[in-house]
Amino acid sequence: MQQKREQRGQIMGTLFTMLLFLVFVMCALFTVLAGGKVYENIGRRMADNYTGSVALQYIANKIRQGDEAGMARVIEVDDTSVLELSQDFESGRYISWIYYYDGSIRELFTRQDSGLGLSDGIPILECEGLSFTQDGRLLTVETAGEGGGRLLLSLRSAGGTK
Amino acid sequence: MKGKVERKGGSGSGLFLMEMIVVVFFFVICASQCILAFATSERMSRQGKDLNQAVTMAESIIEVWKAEGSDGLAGRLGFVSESMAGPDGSQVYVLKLNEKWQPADGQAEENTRMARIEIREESGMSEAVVTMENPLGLPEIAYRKEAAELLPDSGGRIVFKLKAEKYERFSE
Repeated sequence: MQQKREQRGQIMGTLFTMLLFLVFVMCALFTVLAGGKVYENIGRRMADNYTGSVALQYIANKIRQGDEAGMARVIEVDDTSVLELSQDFESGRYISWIYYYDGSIRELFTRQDSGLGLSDGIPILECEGLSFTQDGRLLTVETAGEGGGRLLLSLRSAGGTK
Repeated sequence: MKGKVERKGGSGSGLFLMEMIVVVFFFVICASQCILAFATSERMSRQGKDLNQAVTMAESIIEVWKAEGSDGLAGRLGFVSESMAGPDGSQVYVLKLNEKWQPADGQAEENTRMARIEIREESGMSEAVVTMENPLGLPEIAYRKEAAELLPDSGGRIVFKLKAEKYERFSE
């Protein structure tokens, strides 16, 4: 009788220990999963910030750099809205195109008459879409996708011609 | 003798149980610190995204004001003039924003994010201060520590403040 009771106690002890171990494993798993989820969220937000903010600020800086009368305008090339910033050098006029092509924002700096096209630009950063619209002095830059954003910029040169 | 051996076995299981309890206790302390760190990083990341969106919108508001003045604010973004003038007799315009800090297009609830612009004109110079505000009762995205010290009167409500000036053109 005594032996039986001791055996049962031993089984209960082992069972309790196993249960405790199970709780330990479950908690460890939960902690790792929670950490993973938080890491995933932070990564997603960083990517959103990248397309929603970095891309817009990059373009805004480019526009402010090249905002001269008649030198900043939005054009359509092969059904793609392109921001064209022109600069005059001794050797002639050079243009910077900023546009969306093949999954990324691209920039092409070339002579105006070089004949280069959209596919020749250098990818700057990955993005889901980019569009420009100009209405008088106001230029709207919009990025597409989950973290997409919109920035309105006033052209100091009033978007006029030179 | 047999009884003695069995008693020894039982005491081993008890020791193992004690060891497990100590390990679990230690784990609980570590896990609570980890979860606290996760929660903090999640909140900081959310604040960062909020701040980015608020800054972008504040910049857009200022740019529209610079290009088209208060008419542009009302026409393009939907700003509404407040009947009460601000301090120093400035004209105040407000705009309801959605959770992405974009204009809410009239379908916003009462307690929403707001953009407020105070415009003051003095001897040909115009000054505008844009304030991006959280709704009341949203303490989880309120700013703390250094950020809160920069905006002491906001009570955590003001997320970002941007000031700009421009010369007004006078028609002859």
